[in-house]
Amino acid sequence: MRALWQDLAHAARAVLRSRGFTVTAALTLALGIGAVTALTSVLDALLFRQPAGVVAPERVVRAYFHFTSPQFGDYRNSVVSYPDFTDLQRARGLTGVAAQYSGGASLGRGAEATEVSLSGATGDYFAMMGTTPLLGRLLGPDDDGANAGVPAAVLSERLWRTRFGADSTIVGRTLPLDDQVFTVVGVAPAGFDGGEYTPPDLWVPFTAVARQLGPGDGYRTDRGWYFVSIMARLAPGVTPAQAEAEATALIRAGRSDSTESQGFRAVSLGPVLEAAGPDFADRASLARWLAAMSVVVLLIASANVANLLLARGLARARELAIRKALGAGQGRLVRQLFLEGVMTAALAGALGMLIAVWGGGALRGYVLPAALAERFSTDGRVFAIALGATLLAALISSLIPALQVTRADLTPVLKEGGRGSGFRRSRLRAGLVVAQVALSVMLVIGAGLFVRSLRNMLAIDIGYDAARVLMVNVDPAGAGFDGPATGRAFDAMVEAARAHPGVESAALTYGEPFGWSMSTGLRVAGMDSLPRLSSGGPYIQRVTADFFQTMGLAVIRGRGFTDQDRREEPAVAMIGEVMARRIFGDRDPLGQCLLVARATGCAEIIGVVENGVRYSPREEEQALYYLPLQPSGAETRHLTLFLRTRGEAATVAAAIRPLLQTAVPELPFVAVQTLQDVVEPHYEGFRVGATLFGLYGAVALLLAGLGLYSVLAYAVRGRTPELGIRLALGAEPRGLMRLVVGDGLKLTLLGAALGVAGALAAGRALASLLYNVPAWDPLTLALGTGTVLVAALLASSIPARRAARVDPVTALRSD
Amino acid sequence: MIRLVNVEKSVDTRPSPTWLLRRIGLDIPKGEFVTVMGPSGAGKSTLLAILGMLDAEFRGEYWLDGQPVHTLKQKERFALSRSRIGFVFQQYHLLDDLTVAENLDVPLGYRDMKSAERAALVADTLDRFQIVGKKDLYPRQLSGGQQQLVAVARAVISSPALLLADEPTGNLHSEQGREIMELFRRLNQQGTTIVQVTHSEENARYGHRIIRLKDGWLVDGAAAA
Repeated sequence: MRALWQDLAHAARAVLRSRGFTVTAALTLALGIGAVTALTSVLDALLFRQPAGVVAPERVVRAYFHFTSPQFGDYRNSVVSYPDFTDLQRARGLTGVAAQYSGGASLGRGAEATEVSLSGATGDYFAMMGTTPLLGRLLGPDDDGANAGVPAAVLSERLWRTRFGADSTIVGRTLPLDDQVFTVVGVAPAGFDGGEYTPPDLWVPFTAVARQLGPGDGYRTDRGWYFVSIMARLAPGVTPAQAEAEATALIRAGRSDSTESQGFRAVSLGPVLEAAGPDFADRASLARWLAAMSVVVLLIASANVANLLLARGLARARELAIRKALGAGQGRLVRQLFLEGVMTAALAGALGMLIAVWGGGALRGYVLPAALAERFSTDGRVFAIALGATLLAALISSLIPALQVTRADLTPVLKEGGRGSGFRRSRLRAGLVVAQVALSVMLVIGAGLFVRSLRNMLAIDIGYDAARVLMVNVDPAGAGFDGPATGRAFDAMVEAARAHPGVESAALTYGEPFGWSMSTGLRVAGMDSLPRLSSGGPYIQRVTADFFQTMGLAVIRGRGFTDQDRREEPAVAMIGEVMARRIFGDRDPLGQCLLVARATGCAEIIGVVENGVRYSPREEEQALYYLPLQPSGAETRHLTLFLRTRGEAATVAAAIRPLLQTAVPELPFVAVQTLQDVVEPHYEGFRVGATLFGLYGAVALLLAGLGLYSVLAYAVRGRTPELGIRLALGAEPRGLMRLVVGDGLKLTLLGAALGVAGALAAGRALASLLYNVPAWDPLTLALGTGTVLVAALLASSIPARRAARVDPVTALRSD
Repeated sequence: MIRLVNVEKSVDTRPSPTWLLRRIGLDIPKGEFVTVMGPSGAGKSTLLAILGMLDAEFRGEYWLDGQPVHTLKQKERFALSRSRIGFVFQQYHLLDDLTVAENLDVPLGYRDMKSAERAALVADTLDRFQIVGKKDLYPRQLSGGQQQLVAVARAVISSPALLLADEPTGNLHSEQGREIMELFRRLNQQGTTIVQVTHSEENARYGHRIIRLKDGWLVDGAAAA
């Protein structure tokens, strides 16, 4: 024990003596530790951290339904019909089966209105979770009955704190949500989110929000109406596979007499954490990749410091030789050097933790949804991750060099009286540089692939002029407006918006780009059947006359709609260019007669318009057609208002919301967002990938460059006599530069070759996260490798120039 | 072959510069074997470095085979040095990571020769110096005398007109030293001009003339005999 203290003291003194080295090494490691801690914490929050307030969360499952259809192939739904839920309630392998309907609501009216997200949960929900309230009580079966009276609401701790100032007397207060008044019965425990990826602000009884879906309770028997997500708890002793088999059998039996049975294949049960389930596979996969890449950065940083320590250890050969001569065994020497490394790593760990806490906030905001990022706390798990990263860094960066240095024969050093150069070509050092270069090449190529994917995504013409369009969503009917009042409210908002100097035009639609659209029975007079597209459809949207101009869609042939076209029974239609090509081929679509749904009258095609994206920039070709919005009708409730702005939409958005919010008295919350913000999530994964891979790639490149520099600089110092001899034998300084750069290039080329091989191997797994660029894209491979080679040349140039400046007289001096 | 006119060399020290060589005037005809002697710090090695063009920071004139070294650009100086001069050092200065044959090849590698030509020359030299059996050995596997023999072989492999030797036998015992000096004598008889720096009077006797330096001044032997 005394010996350990002695070694600790020696190590501390050695670390303090070489403060410059210690700080350099600690900063290098801190970059890696910070990256690993920040990213692994995100991964942990996303996939592994068990949800708060849930008892035995590993037994709670989410149901996913699998279907096959000739049109769409195999696909999966996480929302199903209400009858499916009641079927599953009969499963004996599940002790509690709860349904949820997620939606939004306006809290308050007029200028004071805000938007909240809510979950309509069946009575079993909280009991199944085993949750204990923070205040009051949670929802129970009595709240969800048909005769429940004033509906109850349970606030999330976040909403309670941010909106109601953590008012301890909140229980019993009323809450105006849309057109209903709820009574607050309790507050859920802090951090409780039921494992949802985007947790709700409050929970209300399922029946209370189900009425949002329409009058009556048709949803209770309609198997074609998919809107509930189902969660359940496995009964004791039941395995997920057994429960899945039972659930599949129940659903199959329940759907046996329904046309909806066609295509149902099976039920699968996923984890309580939604993000760990199949719907978020891409996002989770990206998070895994990013966390793995942060480990790569840590490995590079550790290899770098190991290299520095090796060089320093060799330079300290005399000190070590003396210690050995004085009786220190190899174990003691290793321990001392290792302890020095551990002290440096500990300092790096503290710095890394700071990087993770401060820099990690921005990172989490970028990668996680706001609610999840906000809830993130620096707790024991984050510390444990940082500690693990620090230990890994300490092991790689100091134990390996300590073993290597102390194993060497140090006797000649003493015989030379310490004048020996101490220089040896170290395969380990060269190997570490090769590894660093290889890992850097992989990261840079990864960054390149994501950048190319993002560029390919951004290059897709979505059809709309997204930067100049605002999308406005409001649900007057939800707030109690009847049909005509809703229609008048939308008309008033259109008028108010048009009067604003920043607005060029306004249009109402039933059906929303990037949101939803419908496919209904469509016939073309004179055609027996319509060609089927693999993307389904054709899809219909009902729009007002200014829609195309507002969205920036050009009318290619014929004419657009006018206000006069807006009738109860539309007589005209417009079609997208894809539909024109796929349905009509060489025939002229203008003048053709569309028979929509059960209509008996023709809707004559009067124009062909540019195609806009239906739901995603990555979608296949979509056949779209448009009818004039009816002056009144069932669709009034789900209208969307689009505004074309005179300048950038984002600059007008802030002024539009209060304008529209007060255009009609008692209007519920009016959500205004730019179309660009609506589109952005489709690019998000690529942007995150490109940014973080790019950032990691840059750090890795810097570290690998430093590593190569340190090896070459050390080599030049150690080889000064040799360089002097070469000069005396006729070498030119430029030749010596070539010699050093050549040494660097040899290591770099070997590392680059390994890196490219690694990138190709890893690329296959990465392929699903890329868009329109193969993982073996030659241009990306060449550019990635080229970038690393240039960095290596730069890193080599300084020691090379130093080599060229070697003074042969000094180098060869014998005394 | 060599003419030095008022060659001076100093290094910056405070408060006044330190003189390493003062007003050296020297003529060495082709084929001469000159010994430079003097106490430590007299400027012997400095003079040798200037003659070998390892040091271009001097004042005065240095003519080699009629070429004004003092006005040559670096590139021209390197070219001239490569074509005329060979070096032998006290510490042998063989490259540790290269075999005997590879060490002999190093200076040829700097002289734009084809590899076949170089291989032939290396083989000839190994034969000439009777070290064929050692061609694949590394310097650390050779005795001091053998290492210096290789160093001399390396110095003359490109047939330099001028061989500069700095204490060539300083690290050898007397028998090995004599063998090396006999080798120098033979090379000189074959036409190589030799300038050696030594402390040994015995080695000095192998040469035609002794130049003595003291405190940077040439005190004896400036003119050819």
